[in-house]
Amino acid sequence: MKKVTFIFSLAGVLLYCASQAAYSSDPEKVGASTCMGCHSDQVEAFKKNTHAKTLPAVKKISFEESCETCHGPGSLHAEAAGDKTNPGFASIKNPKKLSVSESSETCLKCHENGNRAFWKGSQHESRDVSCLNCHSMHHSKTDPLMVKNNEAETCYQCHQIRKAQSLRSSHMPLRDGKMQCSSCHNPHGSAGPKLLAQNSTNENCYACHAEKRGPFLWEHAPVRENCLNCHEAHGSQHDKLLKVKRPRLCQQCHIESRHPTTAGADPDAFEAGLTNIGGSRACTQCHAQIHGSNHPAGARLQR
Amino acid sequence: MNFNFKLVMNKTIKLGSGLFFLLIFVHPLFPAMEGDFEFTVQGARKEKDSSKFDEYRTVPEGAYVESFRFKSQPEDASNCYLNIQSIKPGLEDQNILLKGGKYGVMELGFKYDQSLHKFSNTGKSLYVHDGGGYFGFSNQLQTDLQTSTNNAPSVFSDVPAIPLQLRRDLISADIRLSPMENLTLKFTGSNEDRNGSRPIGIAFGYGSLVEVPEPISYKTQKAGFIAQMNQGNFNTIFSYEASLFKNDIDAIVADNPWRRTDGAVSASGASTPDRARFSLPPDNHAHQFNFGGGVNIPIWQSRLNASLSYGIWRQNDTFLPPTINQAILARAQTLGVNINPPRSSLDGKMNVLSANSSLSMRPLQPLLVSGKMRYYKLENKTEEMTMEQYIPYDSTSSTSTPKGNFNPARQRKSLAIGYTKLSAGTDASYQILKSFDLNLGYEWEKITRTHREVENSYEHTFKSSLNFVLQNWIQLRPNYLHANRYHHHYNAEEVAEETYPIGEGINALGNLPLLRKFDEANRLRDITGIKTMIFPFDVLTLAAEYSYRVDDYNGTSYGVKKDKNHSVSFDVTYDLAEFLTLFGNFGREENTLEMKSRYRASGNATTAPTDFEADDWLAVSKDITDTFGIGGNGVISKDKLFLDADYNFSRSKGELRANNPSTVRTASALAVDFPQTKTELHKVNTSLKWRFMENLTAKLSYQYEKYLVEDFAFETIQPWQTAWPQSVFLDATQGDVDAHIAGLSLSYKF
Repeated sequence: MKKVTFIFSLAGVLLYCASQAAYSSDPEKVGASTCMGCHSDQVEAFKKNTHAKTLPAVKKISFEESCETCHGPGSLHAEAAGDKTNPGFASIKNPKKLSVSESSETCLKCHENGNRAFWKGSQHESRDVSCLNCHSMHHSKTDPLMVKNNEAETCYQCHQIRKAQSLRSSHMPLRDGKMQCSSCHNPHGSAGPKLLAQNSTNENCYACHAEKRGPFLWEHAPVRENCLNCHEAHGSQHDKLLKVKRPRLCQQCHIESRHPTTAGADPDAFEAGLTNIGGSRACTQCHAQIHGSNHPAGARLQR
Repeated sequence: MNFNFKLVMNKTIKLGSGLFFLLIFVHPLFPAMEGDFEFTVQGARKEKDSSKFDEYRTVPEGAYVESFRFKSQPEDASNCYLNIQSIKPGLEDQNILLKGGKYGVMELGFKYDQSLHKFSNTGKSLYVHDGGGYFGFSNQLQTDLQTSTNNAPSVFSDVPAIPLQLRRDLISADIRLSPMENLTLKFTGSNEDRNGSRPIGIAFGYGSLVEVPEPISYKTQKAGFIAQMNQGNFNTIFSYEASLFKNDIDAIVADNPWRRTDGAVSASGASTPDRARFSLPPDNHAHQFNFGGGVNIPIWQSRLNASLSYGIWRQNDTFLPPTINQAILARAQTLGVNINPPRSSLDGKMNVLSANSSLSMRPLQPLLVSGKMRYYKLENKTEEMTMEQYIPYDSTSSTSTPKGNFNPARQRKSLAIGYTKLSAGTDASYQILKSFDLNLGYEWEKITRTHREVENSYEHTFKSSLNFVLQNWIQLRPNYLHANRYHHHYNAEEVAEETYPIGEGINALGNLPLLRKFDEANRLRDITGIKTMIFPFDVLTLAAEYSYRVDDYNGTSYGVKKDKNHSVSFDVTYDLAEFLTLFGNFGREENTLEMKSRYRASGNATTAPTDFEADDWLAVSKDITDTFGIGGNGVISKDKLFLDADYNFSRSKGELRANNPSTVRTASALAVDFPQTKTELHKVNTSLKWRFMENLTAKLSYQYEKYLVEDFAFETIQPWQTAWPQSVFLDATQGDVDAHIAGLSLSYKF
């Protein structure tokens, strides 16, 4: 009995080793036609997206080779025929199940250039954001293959407070479809701060507000240094995307004599129209060229 | 360089469009066409109307095309494609995109985009604009008001309405060529026109001001070139962009409603002008060159990136004359005083140098290390100039004569403001366990400024964060940041001393010496937060985010002392079944700013300036915003009937509180709160889609929008401010909205 047990055990071990040896052999490419046997939905969807066209045209990768360009050779996976217990089943590369760096590496093989050149070391990479958190290769209905219906919704997945800010009374036209997050930011990494597309905050703003670029005869130093000293670009309850309501905004830095140093005015005074401090555009009512003046008499930005 | 870009682009677009339709008829080339268009009939009922309702959009009433998309991408070997899409074609916020080409060879793209920004629907003015920047006031009305401001109520009894809005028209084109497999060239060009008007204030002296609709007639033209090469592990990019800004209207001249003629110049040099002249943004141009590259190094999966950018900003518009006040000009001529600036134009020059490098590597598979260095220099090469006879508000020209002996009432000096930022930092991310990453980082920054209170400031920033994944269904991402910014010397008089070379004079007070401006002051910053995503079931996603930032301006006696931001948000998505998805979100954000200031007043020949510690005041500015949203997408009948609905709500409250820490010495120093402000937005969107044929879908939609605003700054503003005898406003407000929009759309897919 012991001999029989030993023989069966040995046979079992040998069979197991043989099977492992067979599955540990390198998988080979089988072509998209084979993939289509089980994954026709994905393949059909893929045919409609830009990769199906650019791979053969730009990378000289035929449609037949395209699945395995990203998912790796699929022979063992195909041979497993859907049997998840078969070790070969898992030999296919499913980017969603790879580590963030591995899945990103798959995309970067072709895309580590242009505005994605700074991906490595970027804020998003270091916070374990993968390409697939924002892009969907097979199921996206938008260009450039976003996981959500539009770019802003994709960003709001993580940046929830930005979504709330977009509903403030003073806002950029994001919710009106006239701007996108990428109008200012490069989510793939950039040389500028805060993933900005330009080299500095102000250069970013000048891209649309070239009239504020100057140079001016009379500069307003904190304005020249950083627009965000006064503005909250993502949305504010205060006029002109200001961080703090005027006149308090200006009073943060101005304690000169004359009018800037008045603390406030009660509702009755406003009701009766008896005060001008804080009324309308407050300080900028007179100092209207607050971003810089080119008038010889504009030293106080009032001309 | 100022060619008629718009005309060229218009012709090109027409040519491109013509070509497109020609190509459609040449069917064999484009056999695979697909697309859709949506046609809508819409009506709106506004219970309360304001420009807030359609601030950045048009809300057409009647029939219009909502969108149109056309795509041709034949499945043959030609690799050609053509995409055309348009949103709201023909309307004032339309967008048209046209893109076509051959994959891997070339791509041609056109874009035409209009956008609207409405500032107010309520603006009204008695001024008549000549179209070139001159705002005239009826001579008779001027005479009436100069005679007595008691005549104002009848003068302003019937003020005509004026539009206050801005429209942007952007046309851009680009062509991308790939002459070789690894080389891409791209040429870009755009023209943007901005036309319209917005409120702006003009003062005639220290006691009177008017609002006029500032005419906007801007043109921004850009042209650029990008060359990009990728070779194995190495890629490099070179780009150049020119940006030209032109303002067709250099200045505003506005009549003074209270003066028919310039007032006689007083012994001290004062004269109330009958007009004021105000400069508008000058023409400028900029050029930027960028060069960068990256290489993958086969050791430790390393990546090295470097970029160098050089920008040139120039502005040399001819200066306006220093005043339009003829009485002051005549007086200067009589005295033989030269009131003109030393140069006829600024010859403004700023150069921007930016250099960046970064290295990222994985010495061990679980360890990601990166380092960065950044240098940014804004060099102001503009030659400074001193105005020997400065004339504020077209209303005052000092009679002080000695030229060599500076007089603060007479002279002003411009300053060439610039700065340099140098920073370096490193980050390390270590995967301790498969589901547990630890990130640590450090950054150092030095800012060097010219003509500011702090010449050199330094900041050390320490960062840490965790990425934690539990059982594939909980993700936790806590983070903490601590930064210390400091300087060794704060020269409170730096700017004042240089603008007024020997100070402002004994009767006027410059900035309080103890003030520390928040953007330069010593600061301890702490930021902590956590992002959480939970997937308890495949069908349920919960996300939450909490963030707290406090900027403590330690060492600041006057100015901003503390700035805090607190936010929390929740988001939930529930895929109840294949046919129903529900979602909701809530967020709260609080901003609190604490500062200290002092009431101060100038003196005169007989009275010393007011500057007492007892007149200090403390202020707290607090804004709280709650945002709430809920909605769902449902499939009533598979592939046939769909129902979508959502509701979004946002409410912000603002407080500007102030108090005096002790009994005030000066009555005007008594600190009181400003009235509270409040805005509230409700938005409801619903749509019912019925796909009654394979390619035809009907949509019934309803939107409701309600906006409420309480803002003391605008509520009491009238064209004629009865309590401010010499101020005239446009009465431009953005009031409440209460509007219903209903529409019926038909979309066809082909």
